[in-house]
Amino acid sequence: MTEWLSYRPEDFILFSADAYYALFKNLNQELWPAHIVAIAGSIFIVAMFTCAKPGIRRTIYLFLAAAWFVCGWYFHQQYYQTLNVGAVYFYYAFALQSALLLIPVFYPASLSPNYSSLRNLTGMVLIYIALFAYPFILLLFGRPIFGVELAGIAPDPTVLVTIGLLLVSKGKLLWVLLPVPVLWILMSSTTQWVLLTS
Amino acid sequence: MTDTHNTSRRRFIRNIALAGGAALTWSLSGSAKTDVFLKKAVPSSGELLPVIGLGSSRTFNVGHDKQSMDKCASVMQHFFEQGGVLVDSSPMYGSSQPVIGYGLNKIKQYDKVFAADKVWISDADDGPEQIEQSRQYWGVKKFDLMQVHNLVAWRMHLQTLQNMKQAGNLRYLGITTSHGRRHQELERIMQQHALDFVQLTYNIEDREVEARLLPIARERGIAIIVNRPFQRGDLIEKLARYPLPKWASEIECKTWAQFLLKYIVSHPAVTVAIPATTRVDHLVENMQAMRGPMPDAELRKRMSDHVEAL
Repeated sequence: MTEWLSYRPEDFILFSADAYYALFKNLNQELWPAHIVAIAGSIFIVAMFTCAKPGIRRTIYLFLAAAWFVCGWYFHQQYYQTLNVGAVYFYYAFALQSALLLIPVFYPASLSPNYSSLRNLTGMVLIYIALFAYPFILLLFGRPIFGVELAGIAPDPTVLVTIGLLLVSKGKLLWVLLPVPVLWILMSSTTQWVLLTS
Repeated sequence: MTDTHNTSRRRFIRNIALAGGAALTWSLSGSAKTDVFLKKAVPSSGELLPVIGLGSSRTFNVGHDKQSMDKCASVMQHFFEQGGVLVDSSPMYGSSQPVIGYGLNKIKQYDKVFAADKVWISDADDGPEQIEQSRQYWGVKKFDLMQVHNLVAWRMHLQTLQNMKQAGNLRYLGITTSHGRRHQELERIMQQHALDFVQLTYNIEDREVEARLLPIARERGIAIIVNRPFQRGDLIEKLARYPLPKWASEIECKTWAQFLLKYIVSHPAVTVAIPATTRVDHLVENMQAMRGPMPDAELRKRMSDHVEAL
């Protein structure tokens, strides 16, 4: 039992930062020109995320569901699994989240806009960071332009947008839609921390 | 100069004589230069193996990135050119197995490699399938050594490996642990089962195995493969802040990596150490550790005392 206490996160991350970041370069090469659709979807989300019209909200969640599936299938199943045998479980989690995001597509009333100022502000900041700042932050850290992570293609910005959108929404469905994104952010932060420090 | 050379030579020869099962190997390169390096015997067969092998955890896990795969193939090419043979991997190491297979195919060195892999699956019934998958990744006819990784489902897997060995589909079997975990259980297994190899963590700072496991290995005739010789680079990083002691030249160590590796492979129970690297210059540096004089017990004590004091 105490043996488990001797494990550290780096014992499970058996690849280098270079190998991890190369995944995004190869993923971007394979998926191009899907980035145009991803950027168009991102602009649509920014323009419409406070809109209460059911049709608009359906479209936003449909885009998000597709983005989660793309990240799960392409990133986790096709690429990340080559480095991390446990990534197959991330693929399952992303596929599950993709299915869950279809609930507000079919039942738009299950989530409605939230006008609480603090939550709204936090959600908006997250969405803007994920869509526009995140790729440039990576460039500042030396990531090549072909290795940047875009929402709809790569998991981290997609998950941040999702959390942002859920924060500007309200409804009991939040408790169903939040766990996977939050768990992924914890997982991804730990991975990045290990890669940057070891 | 001559005195120093003779002292080193005497120390070298004395140490080799002291280390049972060890041998010097002279080989001729294309330019007819004589190359001398240390090999040690696998106790169960007497087969001699060069004391520096090549690990693949983390370093060879590069996915499908062609540029990185070519870099790994280049490391393998230099490893074989430097006299190395034992390459170690595991299904746990992501793409390392296919990358090794890619490298072997690219440099066509199937005849030189001593292929060491592991079975790592909790449902032992799936063990043979995983081993076959690993063999296909490597592209070898059969593995030289198959080890039960980190004692996972070890009873059933050991039985599978014994069956494979009896059928002539495997030359050696073994079991592994790392990071100093589950040593008591490993000790029981070493005492009660017929093993050709045990892989464990041993380095100048992590020396717990000197007390029980290494003596048992000698007593029971089990070859020892040492993983994490540099604590995944942490030891090198720590020691890089200090100059190498002048007396390290007695055993022809020019770098801390060589100092650390010579400390490990000079232990009489140790057969092979498997440092991992993605860099050819580091590989060449590591391979030099199997050349020149080896430290005797007195010098080994001085080496560990020195590192402890830093």
